Amino acid sequence: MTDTILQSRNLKLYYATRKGVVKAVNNVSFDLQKGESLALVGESGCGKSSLAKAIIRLLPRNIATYTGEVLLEGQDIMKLSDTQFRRQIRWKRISMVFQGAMNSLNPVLKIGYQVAEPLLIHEELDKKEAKKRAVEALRIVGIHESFVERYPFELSGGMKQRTVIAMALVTNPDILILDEPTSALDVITQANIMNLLKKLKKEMQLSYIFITHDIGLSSELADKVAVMYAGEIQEVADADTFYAKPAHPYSQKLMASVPTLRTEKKPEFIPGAPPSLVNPPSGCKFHPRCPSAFDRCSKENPPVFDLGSGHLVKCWWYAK
Amino acid sequence: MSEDEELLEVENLRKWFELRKGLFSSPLYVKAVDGVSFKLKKGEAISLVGESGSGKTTLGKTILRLYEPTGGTIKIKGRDITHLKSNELMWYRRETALIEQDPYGALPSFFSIHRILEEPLIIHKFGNAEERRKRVREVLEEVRLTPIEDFAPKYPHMLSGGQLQRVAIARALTLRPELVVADEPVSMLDASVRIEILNLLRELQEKRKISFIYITHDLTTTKYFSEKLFIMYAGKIVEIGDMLKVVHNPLHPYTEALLKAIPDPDPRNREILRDVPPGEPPNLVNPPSGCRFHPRCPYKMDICQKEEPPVFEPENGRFVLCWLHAKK
Repeated sequence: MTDTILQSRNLKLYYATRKGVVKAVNNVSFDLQKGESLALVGESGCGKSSLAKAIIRLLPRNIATYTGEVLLEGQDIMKLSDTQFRRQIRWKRISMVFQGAMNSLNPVLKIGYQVAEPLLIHEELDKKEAKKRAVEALRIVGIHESFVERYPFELSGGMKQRTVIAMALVTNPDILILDEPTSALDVITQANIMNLLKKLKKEMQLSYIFITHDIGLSSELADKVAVMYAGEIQEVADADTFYAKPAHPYSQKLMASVPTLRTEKKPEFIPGAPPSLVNPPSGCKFHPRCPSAFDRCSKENPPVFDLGSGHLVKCWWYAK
Repeated sequence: MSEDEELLEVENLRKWFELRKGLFSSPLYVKAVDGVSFKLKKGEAISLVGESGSGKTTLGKTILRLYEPTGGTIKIKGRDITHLKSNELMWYRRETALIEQDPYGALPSFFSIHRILEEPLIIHKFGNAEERRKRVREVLEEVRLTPIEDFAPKYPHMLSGGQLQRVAIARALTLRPELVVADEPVSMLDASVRIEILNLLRELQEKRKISFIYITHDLTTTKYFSEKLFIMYAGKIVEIGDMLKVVHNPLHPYTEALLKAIPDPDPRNREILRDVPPGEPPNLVNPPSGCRFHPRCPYKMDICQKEEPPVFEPENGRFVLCWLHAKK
C-alpha cells in the first residue's frame, strides 16, 4: 500500500494589500501519497502558486493570515519555527522548481557551483563532496559533466531548466513542487522535460505537486488532479476519473474549453472572468459563471462532498 | 477585386538583424527571416506556427513594413511596397493592422476607450467628429463591448484582460483593414476566455473578408481559426498545407515532431514517454548547413547537411522543404 507523505488541512494564506485582504489560499485540504503526483490545475490568479509557497513556507512580508496544518509524514510542520523549518524541511524534504527559475540563474556563477550551493549551505558539505553530488545531480537530469564549468549564457533554455531541476534534486528531497516548470519552453523541449520528470518519478520514487494552467499538460504527470478556483480546491479526483468524468461544473467547463489536436471537439468558453480574491462572490465562488447554479449556491459556500474512492467535490449539486 | 485574387505576395523575403560589429571584423547577422515566399488570397485566413525564435513575429512585422526588409519583395494587390519610405506608406498602414500579444501593454493608460479607438481615425484624417463617433460605436459593437455607453468612457485599467484584447481588436479594425496580422493574440489570456476571443476574430475575419495571419506557438488553437497552416522553423517556412491534412499526415519531420510533442488531455499520457527529437532550435547567426533541421532530424540523409532543400509539392496544394519528398 502507498503511504501518505503530505497532508494539508484547512490551510489558509491571506495577503494584506491596500485594496483589502486577498484570500489567496482558503481552507485548502488535500493528501499526497508517496511516489504520487498531484496536478494542481487552475487559471491565473486562482491561488495555485500561493498554495505552493504556503507549503514550502516562502512567504512575502504582507501576510495577514497563515494558518492550518501541513503534515509531513504525520508531523505538523506548520508548528516548526522558521529556523527549524529552514534547517529540517525546506530543500531537504520539500524542494521546489519555481516558475521562470531558469531565468533567475546567476549569470556570473558556473552552473556546477549553483547546483552545489544548496549542499554547501544546507548540508555543510565540503566543496569537493558538494561538487561530486552536483555532477551526479546534473547527470541525472541529462547534463554532461563537461557543463559543470560553464555559465548560464552558454546553455540553451531546455538545459537551463534541467539545471534548475538538478538544483531542486541535489539535496534528495521526498517531495518536489513544480510550478509551471515548462511555461517558457518550446513544445518539443517541453516534451523532453516532461519525459525527464516521468523518468525521475519512477526511478527516485519522488512525489510531485505539479502546478499548471494547462489541463492537457497536467495529464502528462498527474496521478491525481486538484482543481483550484478563487483560492479554494473545487475538486480532487484520480486522473482516470477526472479526465473521463469531471464532477464540478467548473472542471467540466474548464475541460470543455481546452482545444485539442486529435479530436473534432469544438471548445467552449466560460462566460465572465475569474473573481477578485479581495471581494469574492458570496456562497460558492463559481456561482456567477456557473450554468447549473441555483438559489443555495449564491447563499452558502458548499462543503466538500465525497463521491467515493477519494473523489471530492465542492458543489451543492452533490448534496444528498 | 474578385475573391480569388492574390492580396499579398511575398517572394524570397529576408530580414536580417545586424549584431554589434567589432572594429575590424565583418558584421554578424541574425537571420530571423531567411527566404520566405508565399501568397495570400483576399479574405483568406492562415495560421503561422513556430517555436520562439523561429522568426514568426519578425515575418509578421516585416510584412506589415514595421521592419525594413533585408531582401526579397512584398507586393500587395500587385504593388511593390518592399522599400517604400514611411511617408509613402500611409495608405498601406490604413489597409493593414497588427494585434499584439499583450493587451495590457498595447493600450495607452491615459486615453479612454473611445479616444483609443478614435486615434487611428484622427491620424488618418477620417471624416468629422460625428462620423468618427459612429465608426467607434460600430467597432465596439462588433467586438461586443456592449452596452457601448458603459465601455466607451472607461480607461484600460478598468477592464479585464479579455475585454482589453477586445479593445485592441476593435482598434485594429477601425480603419477597415484588408490585411490583419495577429501575433499571439490569446496567449496572455486565461484558458477560459481564449476560445471566446478566437471565435470573435474568426467571425470578424469572415464577415469583413479580411486576409488574416494568425501567428502562434500553440498548434492546438489554430484548428479553430483557419483552414491553412504554415509551419516555420529557423527562419524558414518548412511546410504549407490544409490544416487537417497537415495535422493528420505531416510531411516535414519537424511538423511531425511538433505534433508528437503536444499532449491532449488524457490520463494515459502519464504512462508514456514522448518520442521527440533531442536538442533545440539552432542559433540563427550561424544556422546549420543544408537543411536547418538536419541535426535533430530522425530521417537525416547525406544530402540534408550538404544542400538546402528547395520547395517540393508532393501533393496538390501541399508544400514542403524536405529532401524526403524530392521526386525520385
